[in-house]
Amino acid sequence: MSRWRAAVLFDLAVAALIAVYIAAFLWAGAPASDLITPDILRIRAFGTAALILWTAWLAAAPLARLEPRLAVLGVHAGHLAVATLAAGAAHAWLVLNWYHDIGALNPLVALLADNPRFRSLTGFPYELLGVAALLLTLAVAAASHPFWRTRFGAGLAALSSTGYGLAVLHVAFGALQSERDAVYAAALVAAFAGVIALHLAAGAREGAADRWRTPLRLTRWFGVAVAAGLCVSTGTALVLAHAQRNPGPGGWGGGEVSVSGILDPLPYPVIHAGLRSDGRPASAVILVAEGKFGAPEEVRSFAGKPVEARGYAIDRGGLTVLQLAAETGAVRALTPADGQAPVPAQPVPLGRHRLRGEIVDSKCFLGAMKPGDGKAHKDCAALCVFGGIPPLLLTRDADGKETLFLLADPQGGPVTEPAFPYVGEPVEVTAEVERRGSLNLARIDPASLRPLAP
Amino acid sequence: MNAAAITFAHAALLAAGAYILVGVVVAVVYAARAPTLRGWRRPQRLALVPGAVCLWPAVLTIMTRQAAPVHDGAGRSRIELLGALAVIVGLGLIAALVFRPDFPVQPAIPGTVSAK
Repeated sequence: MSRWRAAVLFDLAVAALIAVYIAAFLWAGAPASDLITPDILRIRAFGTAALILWTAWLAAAPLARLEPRLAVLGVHAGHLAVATLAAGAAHAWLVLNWYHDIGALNPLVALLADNPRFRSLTGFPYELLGVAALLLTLAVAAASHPFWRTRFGAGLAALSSTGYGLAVLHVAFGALQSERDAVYAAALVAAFAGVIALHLAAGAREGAADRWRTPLRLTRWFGVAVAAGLCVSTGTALVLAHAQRNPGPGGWGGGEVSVSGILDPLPYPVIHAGLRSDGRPASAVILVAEGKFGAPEEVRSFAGKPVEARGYAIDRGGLTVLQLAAETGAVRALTPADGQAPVPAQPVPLGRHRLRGEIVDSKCFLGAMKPGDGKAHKDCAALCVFGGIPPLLLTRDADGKETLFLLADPQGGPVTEPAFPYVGEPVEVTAEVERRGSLNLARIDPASLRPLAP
Repeated sequence: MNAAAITFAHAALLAAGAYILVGVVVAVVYAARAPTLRGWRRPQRLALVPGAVCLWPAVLTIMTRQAAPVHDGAGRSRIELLGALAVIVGLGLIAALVFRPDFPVQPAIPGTVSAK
């Protein structure tokens, strides 16, 4: 077999392994599609595929040195680099489109600016580690032609190892902060330790004179290896997909609904609802716009009046977010001809309290994105709050029962910039708590806000 | 959002754009005229362009100094580098797992409405 045909066969085998992995991951996640948003499943499928490919890529050269029958891996390591880049780029593209797009900032600017917590250990902007890892992969994959290998081989190999280290830390300080199943931590540690051990073993065995035997034809083990790889790929995908945490209930309702009630403009436009056209319980309804934006400013002109709002509802735990219909007139004042006006909700002061929980954006957490909380969602939550989507403080008692507080500044207005960096991570804050209808409101003291994680 | 962070993000994207732009120019010149590529056909030269765009500072070094090829080695320095990297990343990995925060417990506040 010619070297060209061997390379094509190798590429086909790698493509098949990736396709099987992605398909198995999405298939395993499909039963939970009402739990985890399909777009987030795709982000996770390509992200894990990229890290597995990177592990295989870095393991290829030492394996080829240690075991002559695996020399084909060493010869085609550059192809694995390109495959890693493709999977990583797909992951990055999906992340940009999902977490950073349709907001108040350009997605690339949002990616770089959303999380300023550089002095925090666990709150660190892990996205930047991923960006750096992807850029290093791009450099190595783009220079995978043998011409570059001869001149920059040692330097590029160091770049690929550095990039892998950054990718490992990207996962450790990102997804693993939210996904607590031990499978993920064990898999990441095993992959990293395995790659390092292989390199040290190969280095110790061969010293400075490292060469692998270049096979001009595939060994007879190649077919067996591909079959085993397909099994391992499928199994890994099933295990990783199955271990995802349950983000809880909530989600989009059916089609367009209308909600009527009294509009409370501060801190964010909320309708204390009396009626809902789809017959579901109507309580507190937070108004937002399409994308990562709060309700338009003109909605506040209906302050204290009975109104009807049309849009798409997201419900969770007795709280509703209504994404207003795109056309003008999505909110209109009710007239006497519409029937009896609902009674306004009166505030009930509940005292000053020290609250501990996580600041989330109401739209994502209630079900627009699942999961819509945790470190992996931090950038998106920050962009949403920046765009005017009302922030909530999510708290849990010892039994895991959730309570949500709509956040306001001390004067009862919208939350201001000092709170933005702490969105999406555990915090402690002092607040005046009150109840308005079925909504808890917390007027926080920004100076008392502090992160609980190191 | 922090205004300084947004300004920094714009500056970083501008710098990345400038790097790529210079890289494209250097890559085209290199692929067309580099003495080291004499005898190469056009498709062979074009195959080097992505690498030249990404690594154009290194390409400039080759063009000016005609750097000698180096062997793809797992020599002592590379192993030492890898060991240092393993220690740094390993410590980071351990820190990320050991210090990852648990969700805090908040005692219920009388009068508030909890999720149904």
